[in-house]
Amino acid sequence: MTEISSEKIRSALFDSALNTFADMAFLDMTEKPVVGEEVSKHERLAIDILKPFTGRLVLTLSQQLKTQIIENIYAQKSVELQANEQEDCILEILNVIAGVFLSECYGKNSDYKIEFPELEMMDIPEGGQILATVCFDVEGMDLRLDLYSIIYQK
Amino acid sequence: MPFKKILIVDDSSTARMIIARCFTIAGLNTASYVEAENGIEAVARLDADESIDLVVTDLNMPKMDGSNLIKKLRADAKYAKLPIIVISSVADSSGENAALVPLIQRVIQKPISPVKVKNALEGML
Repeated sequence: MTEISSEKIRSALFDSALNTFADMAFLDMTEKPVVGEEVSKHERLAIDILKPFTGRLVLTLSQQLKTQIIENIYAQKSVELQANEQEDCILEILNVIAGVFLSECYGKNSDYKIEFPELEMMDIPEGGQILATVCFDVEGMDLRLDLYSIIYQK
Repeated sequence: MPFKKILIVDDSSTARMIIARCFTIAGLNTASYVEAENGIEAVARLDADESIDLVVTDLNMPKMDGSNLIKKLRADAKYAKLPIIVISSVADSSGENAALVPLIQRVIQKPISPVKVKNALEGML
């Protein structure tokens, strides 16, 4: 991913999250400074990017924000939804963010391939590095996006 | 009224719900919607229901992805002219997807909205 500046990556990550949350979950977000995360209090989900570079996009959010997203998208109380519907909802948000991010970075004329999003069971990738991090205040709730590079062993 | 029954193919139940909602708001409020989680289910749905007159499909799906679904449908004379709209988070038009462009009617990139659907449907209705 060396051909794209770190500022463009960060900017694309910011815009993709902002636009996706506004369009899908009707939530307003403002950027906040990047600080150390309290992983134990938050949910993490991840999606791997296979083309045009290899990386992993990790979304970290509070349970309160997860509930808000689900209720906004489904227009009903989250307790009325099955656990798999709730899980699917936030995974789809990350899937869309990843697609918008790639389009923002590379335009529509690149070849993209992304994996299916998963609740984060994977370890933070070894051998790679953090390419960008953006943190948001989403109507008083925390959200964080980290983009890692991944170097697969051959 | 065109498009009376629409098949929505996406592995995400949330995406299927949002797509149906957007098509309804965009004007197809009298259409009925049926769903499939992947290309294999979609083919089974189509084979079982001749009244489906529009397919709206994601690309990135397990078992049979959208790309293979589209190629399979176009290779079958029964579905050669069935309108297909692709709705995907990675709606690029190069690489493998370039071959799909002549086979489909429209591409919409997620996040989908009623305005995007309305624009896409122009000229199709």
